[in-house]
Amino acid sequence: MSGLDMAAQAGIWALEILAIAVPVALSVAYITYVERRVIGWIQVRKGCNRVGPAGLLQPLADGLKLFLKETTIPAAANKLLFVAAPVISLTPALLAYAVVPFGETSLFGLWDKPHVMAISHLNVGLLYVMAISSMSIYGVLMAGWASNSKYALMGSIRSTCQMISYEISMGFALVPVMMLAGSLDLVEIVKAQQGGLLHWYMIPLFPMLLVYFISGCAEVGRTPFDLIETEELVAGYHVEYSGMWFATFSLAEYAAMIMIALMTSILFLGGWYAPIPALDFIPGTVWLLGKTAFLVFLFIWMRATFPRYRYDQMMRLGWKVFLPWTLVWIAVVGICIYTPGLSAVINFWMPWR
Amino acid sequence: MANVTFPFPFPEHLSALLPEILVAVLAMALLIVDLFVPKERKALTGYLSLATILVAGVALMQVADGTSVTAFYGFFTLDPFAVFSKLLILAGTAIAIIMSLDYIRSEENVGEYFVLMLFAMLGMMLLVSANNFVTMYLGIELMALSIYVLVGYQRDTLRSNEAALKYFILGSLSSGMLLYGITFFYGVTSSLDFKQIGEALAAAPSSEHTAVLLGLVFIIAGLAFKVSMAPFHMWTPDAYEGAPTPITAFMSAAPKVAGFVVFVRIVADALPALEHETVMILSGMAVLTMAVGNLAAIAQRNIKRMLAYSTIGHVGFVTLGLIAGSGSGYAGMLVYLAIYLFMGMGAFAVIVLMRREGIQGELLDDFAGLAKVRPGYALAMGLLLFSLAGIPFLGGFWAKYAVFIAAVQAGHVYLVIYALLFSVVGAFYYIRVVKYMYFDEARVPFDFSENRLMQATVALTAMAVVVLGIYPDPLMELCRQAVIGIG
Amino acid sequence: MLETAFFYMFGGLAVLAATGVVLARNTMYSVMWLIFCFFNAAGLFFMLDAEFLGIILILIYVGAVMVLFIFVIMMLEINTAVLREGFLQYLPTGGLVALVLLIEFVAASRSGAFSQGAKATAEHFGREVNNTVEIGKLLYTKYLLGFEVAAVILLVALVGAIVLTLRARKDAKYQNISAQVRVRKEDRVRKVRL
Repeated sequence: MSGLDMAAQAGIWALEILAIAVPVALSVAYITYVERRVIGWIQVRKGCNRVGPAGLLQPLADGLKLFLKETTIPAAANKLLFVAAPVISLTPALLAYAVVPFGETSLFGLWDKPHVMAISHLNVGLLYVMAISSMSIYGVLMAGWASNSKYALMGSIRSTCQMISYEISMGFALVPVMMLAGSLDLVEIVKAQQGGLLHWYMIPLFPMLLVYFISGCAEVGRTPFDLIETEELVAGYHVEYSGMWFATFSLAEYAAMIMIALMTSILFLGGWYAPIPALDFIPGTVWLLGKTAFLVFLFIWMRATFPRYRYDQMMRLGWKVFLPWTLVWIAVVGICIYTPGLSAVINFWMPWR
Repeated sequence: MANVTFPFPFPEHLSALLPEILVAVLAMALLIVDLFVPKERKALTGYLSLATILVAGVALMQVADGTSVTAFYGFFTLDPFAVFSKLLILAGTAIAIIMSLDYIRSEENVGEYFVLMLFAMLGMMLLVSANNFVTMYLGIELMALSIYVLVGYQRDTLRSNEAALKYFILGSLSSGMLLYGITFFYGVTSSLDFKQIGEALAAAPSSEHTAVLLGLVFIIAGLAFKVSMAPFHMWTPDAYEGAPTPITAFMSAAPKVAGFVVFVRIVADALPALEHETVMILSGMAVLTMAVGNLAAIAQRNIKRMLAYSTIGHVGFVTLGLIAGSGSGYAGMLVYLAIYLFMGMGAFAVIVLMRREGIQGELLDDFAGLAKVRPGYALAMGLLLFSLAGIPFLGGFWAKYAVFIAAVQAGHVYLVIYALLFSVVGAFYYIRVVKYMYFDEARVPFDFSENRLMQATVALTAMAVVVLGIYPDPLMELCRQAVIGIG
Repeated sequence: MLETAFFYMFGGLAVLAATGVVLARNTMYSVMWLIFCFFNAAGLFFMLDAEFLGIILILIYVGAVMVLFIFVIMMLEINTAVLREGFLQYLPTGGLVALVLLIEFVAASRSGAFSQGAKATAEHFGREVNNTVEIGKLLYTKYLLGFEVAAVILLVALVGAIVLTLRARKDAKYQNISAQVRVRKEDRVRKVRL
């Protein structure tokens, strides 16, 4: 490969990364707006409607405000880690997008073979997403520890416990998906669900869909699992943060939330396939993003509806309800696969066999 | 359905693993059964685990047919050598469980205690059947992990905590060394199987042996730690003293059997090409081990510590058999380990009997005047101690005899003279306890917990020592049969 | 060429990170260096086409084990200065062992067992060879015994951890959720005539 080729390749990569990162950043900004409007609508009040037409410029105003605010570092804090923590928490949230396939395209017939729209088509994509999202814990831990404040420390221990607990059931919920799809490649998993609504993994793995989605909700600390940042528990790990650094944490949280919604769509809701094969003329990316948008709406809906869990209730749900469910379902799927008779049923979702 | 196939070909000779599978399944079942056993009747779990051992023993006798079988894609071997040592391990675990029935009653979570012992036993059973490094390492880890927990079982006792922590940290370090040594063997020979490594090393140019030598050092260090061979013995006295006494007895016997058996397999199968280096390293360690064990034991006032050092001393003698090598050397080792299992555990059983309200019964002074109050206990203890010292025509004498003769035959005369010297030193501190029992006045009143099963165990081990002392031939013959085909 | 460069980058950074683990004054920094070290080791796995192992290394060690490490460090107040007091005292012994090891390493690496061409070199396979599948096949056939024993070891670790830490507290209050859910109006509400 010559130097010119390498430079061209690097340029293409940079463009691909920009093509993912910019929409993510923009959608994070506008999801905050949507969230406020939707919750306002659900709670029969206005929501933000003052800045710009229908309040559409509100996220920009918020961003500007956060940029201009003073950022303080507590005197006794560990300065290096204090500043590094928001970055550590944002990086994995964005890195995870590297393997997400947003669909297949032949670029309006320009290529003779459809290409996968992903920065990197990794054959252990699912594991990659799990590994990278598990690293977001470090941002939380660092923030709590580096602040040198007991409230931040306790908050970070609290939220780390929560994240670790739910990560386990999240991981286990994906095992049946791997078993049915026979692959860790996200593209393969989507392709295994081709052929309409009945082939989607939400049908055989409905309990796992619930476990994954709700655990994802807990993992990113959304209501009803937002003990991470409750007011009555002194805000949690980011009490000492202000201004842009604080905003970075919320940025990471929203990016992770979109990621959960995307992964749920890819793993359980048929990815970029339409519910009825006849509708596949609509580009797959639209379907995928549509499903994702619905799930994000669900997140917001849940936030507007449910009261917060108490800490012991939350732990109980993760360890005593979800974990046994997932273990049982793994066994059920495994038994189905290797039992004559039942396997004919399950083979419907295992096209590769 | 036609398109359903079992995901993998069924492992051949699976039945060779029957005892292990039974132990694993029954131990897990016991873990659940124990939840339904009321707290005041937890000894039931102990009896059930004894039954498990009995089942495993019966199964073992069923699958043992005197031939050598390799099972499970070559990761497991069942030969007479493995069968004999498994029987020893089963016996040792059973004795330790009997000792625990009363001892552990005051602790919380009693049920898991017995289950952990079964798992440790399972690890040892796998270890003696290991014919490659994967099975060996996993067996060692299973055994060690269970024992770490058992050592720290009395979690409100500072001594127990300290012992468990020291054992755990040093044990992990030694596991790391072992793994590191294994990587060198794998790097040079591209194999983890003992026999294949042996063949590859025999074929490799001698310059490559340098690389293996580094691995050899690490592997010997790791294994030496597990059998507490000097200079890797430091954990032994602390762990033995702090652990609950039945566990001390268990640790002093069963893991040593398993460790030495796997040592034999490595030395005999994987290292014939490096025999000279192996013998050199092991001889140095044996000399050091005998010296450390026997000299340090003299200074001890706590009998558990004393017996810990005595174990180290005995390990040194057993190593002589390893050095002597194929045939009579390995047979001598087995004889030694079998007899030591009974006399060592018997002595610890007497210590368990000595424990009573408020007194651990572990100091030498606690034994003063025992002969006047309980002549039976004193007689048994005396016999066991004399046997440990190697006084002629008790079991211990024949154990030493078998190993020493083998070493002389292999040409290690100086080592044997040295070992004889240290057995004389060793005799001193064993006989000192007898002096306390028979010639001193009691300082504290004795009132013992009476447990028929325990008393029977003590009596049986003492009797075994006497019987084996008078008539050792069957055991010797059995061991000779067991090691045929090794090395 | 590029591959060699990447190898030296990952390898060098791993060594640097490992040095950092030992030399860092702050325990928290040590853990951070260790995490960095794991990443570089994962990078080395990727270069060997062992992407499954690389990802698993990150998932298990960085994602779970190191988090527990940090947890413990956060709970304990470790004064590293005190810990380092014995450093000089043990330096001669430790240094001697290290020196002997170094000499042995040099001897081992020059013995020819690891020299170029002594071992068959692996080829790079494309995407069509999925090493996750291959590892799965091996684990459940050839290495099944080890796999199962490892499972038993994990069970023992679990049982051991619970046994050593679980204390049945008499004064703890428990919430019976199914009883709460099953409760009916008649159980709680009583009409009072005023």
